[in-house]
Amino acid sequence: MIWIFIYAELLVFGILFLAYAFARARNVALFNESQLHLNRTAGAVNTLVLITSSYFVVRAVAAIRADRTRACARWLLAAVAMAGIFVVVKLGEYAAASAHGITMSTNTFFMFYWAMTFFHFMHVLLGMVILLAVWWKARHGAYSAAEHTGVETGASYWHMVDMVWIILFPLVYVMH
Amino acid sequence: MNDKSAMLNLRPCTITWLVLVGLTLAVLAIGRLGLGGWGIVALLLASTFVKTWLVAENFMGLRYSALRWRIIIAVYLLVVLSGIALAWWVAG
Repeated sequence: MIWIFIYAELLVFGILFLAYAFARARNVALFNESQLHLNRTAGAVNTLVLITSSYFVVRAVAAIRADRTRACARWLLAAVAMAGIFVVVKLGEYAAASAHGITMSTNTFFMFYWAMTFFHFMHVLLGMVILLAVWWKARHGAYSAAEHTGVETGASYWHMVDMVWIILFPLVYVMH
Repeated sequence: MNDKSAMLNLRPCTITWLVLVGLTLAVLAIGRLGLGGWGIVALLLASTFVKTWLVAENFMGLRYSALRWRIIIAVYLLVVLSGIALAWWVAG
């Protein structure tokens, strides 16, 4: 069931990516100029943070498959902490953009920037809630090597969130 | 989709993480140098394909799944990334 949800989410983001790319084709100069206002370092830091968080989730899955419940909980908490860094960096970016008067209505580029990154941001928040719920259950011994569907499901969702950002970062922050 | 009883081999996952970090730093370098043009766009799209495929195969565990699930992801990535390439080509 989670895979149908994941594929549906990927489809929505895929349509957004293509809409961005073809909207850019109609106004290359505006998109290239607007892109210069983005903080590429912050985008790259958030990419590193998300891929590391995803790796920690992989370690959590490996731990529970080996029946190491406490290690699983620790890796999940580390993954959530990395997600927390993503949230702080992204909120900093949003605050800086707002301080410069950059909103969704500034131009077409920023309409896409806010829509795509905020939509993804909401998925990060949902992913954090899911990982925290899985962490809580893992901490209380709800999972084992024999039964850990919840950990696998939460992990798959989190990797999807990571995968989307891996496409979004070069597309919106770097390619011109 | 995965065999949940299987022990996870961490080595390919750790290598994947290192490759993802390396490619991300390369993308950042390209961004900070302000490099553009067709060659760079092709490089960025190819690196994005590699990164997302590695996440799907090794982190999500699709390599242990039925072929149809892997094909869906591969087709998705090819359609989206080719579409983006087409849009850049249209833009000239």
